[in-house]
Amino acid sequence: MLKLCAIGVSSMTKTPPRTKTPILKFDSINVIYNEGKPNQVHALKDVSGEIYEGEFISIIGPSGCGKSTFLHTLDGLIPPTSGTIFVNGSPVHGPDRDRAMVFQDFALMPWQTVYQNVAFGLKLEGKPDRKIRDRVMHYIKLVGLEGFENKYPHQLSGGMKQRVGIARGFAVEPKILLMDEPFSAIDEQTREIMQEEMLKIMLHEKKTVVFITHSIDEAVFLSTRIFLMSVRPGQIVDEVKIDIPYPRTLETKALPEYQKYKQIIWNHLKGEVRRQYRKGEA
Amino acid sequence: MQKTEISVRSASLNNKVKRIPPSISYPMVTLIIILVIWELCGWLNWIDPFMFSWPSKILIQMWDFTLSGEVFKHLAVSAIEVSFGFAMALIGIPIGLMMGYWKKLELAFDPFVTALYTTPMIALTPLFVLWFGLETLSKVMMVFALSIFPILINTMSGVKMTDASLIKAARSYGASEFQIFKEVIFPSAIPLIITGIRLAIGRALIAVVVAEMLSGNVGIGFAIRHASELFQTAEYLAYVVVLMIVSVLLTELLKILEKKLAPWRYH
Repeated sequence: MLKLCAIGVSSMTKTPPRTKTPILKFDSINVIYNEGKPNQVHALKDVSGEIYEGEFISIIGPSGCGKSTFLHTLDGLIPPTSGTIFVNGSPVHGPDRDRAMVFQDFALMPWQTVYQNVAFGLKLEGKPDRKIRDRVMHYIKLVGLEGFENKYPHQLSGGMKQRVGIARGFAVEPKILLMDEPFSAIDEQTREIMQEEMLKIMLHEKKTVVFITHSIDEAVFLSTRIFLMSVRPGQIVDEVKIDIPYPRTLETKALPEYQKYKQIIWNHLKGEVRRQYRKGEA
Repeated sequence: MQKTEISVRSASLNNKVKRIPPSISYPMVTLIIILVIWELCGWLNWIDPFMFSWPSKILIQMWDFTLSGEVFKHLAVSAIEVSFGFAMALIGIPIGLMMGYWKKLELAFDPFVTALYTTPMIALTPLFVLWFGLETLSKVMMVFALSIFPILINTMSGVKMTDASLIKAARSYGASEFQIFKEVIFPSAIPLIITGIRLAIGRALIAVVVAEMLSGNVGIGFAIRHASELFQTAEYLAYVVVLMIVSVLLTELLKILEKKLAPWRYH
């Protein structure tokens, strides 16, 4: 694996303690859709890596590179054609309580109120309402939606809907939060504020996050490490460690090293996008 | 201080009286204009009372059969026939749910359901009379036969139109197949189930009236046929008006039910 750190950012020495078992480990994951048929698609190829507790990992890559497929595979929604995913050392066989997903299109139940949507995962576990009430309200407050518990999703703005989606993810109190381009359907101004809020919540709740985005800016701003993916078949071709201390605020974006990280990632992505362009897929 | 409060209150009261929504006031004006012109045509002897009638004559007929209680006798019988037939037709909901959920069931039965839905089943009335007799049962069965298919077909498409991303979300949060059905597929099908019920009510009314017209000696359909056979055109039209009122009331009732059952669509 080519080390991008050598290109110019000096402060890439601090690595997470590798003595611990990784909270999430994936070992040569392959996902092939319609295997053996003429419309076979090799979506992910030999994707391996390790993620440690408390990390904020962004996955960035050209569109159609299999980022979403990868996240769905980590969640257990898509079984890998080959390879294994381990959470705290035990293999994954399907969706589980230790991972929660936040979706790009929010995927809120339109017939449920904000409260019911946030409680969705807990209700599925069969917990009675009085037992989960405090917890649900805690996360509604955390995402700043207090007072909106009884509204239906269509009464909320895009940003508020996604906050419901995030609260729903938090409410099941997972170890790992998987977020699939959660802010892409939200307007620019709201997105910046939500990124900042997101970081605050993450620091407060101490979660491990795997975050998909195609915004370089978003990835650099949020992450401890960024995985770069290639065009199809999707592979993790590199990773960049972002050594900017938390808490990060909107002022962080003005730092010179922030710009340098953006440049590094953009240079890399440019090559990938060109390759895809030549293949006639972009 | 007190004075201003009082004046504010009376102003808001006034507003309430004045504020009839245009969705009611506009059609009311249209209706009144039509009725007045129609009535005038009657007074000017432009209408042959043997061929047609006019509002005041129809109203008098309605007043008469309301006082005598005649209309209630017919309405009660028709209502019972519709209620039983319709209650039976609600079996279309579970059948539709199953057909929407299990692809194989749909493949096996969908062409026949569609064929039966599009066939003017009202043509089967004589056969139903033959099978189920001249009395109530044949009408109940007609109502059932006509109203089950819109319920079934709409329920089925409601299930099939469930947003795939919602199912994915439920699965991701650990829902079992049964929970996915109960928490996602069924609630998302409710609006279309109600649409099916609304279509079915229209067909149920047609079924009961036609069946009573063709056979029977009581019920709104029979009353209409009877009056028309005696060339009591005003009375005949008065019964038609009753039918109209009943179907408008039923539709409105269903709208209220819809808001109760699917509040997320109406805020």
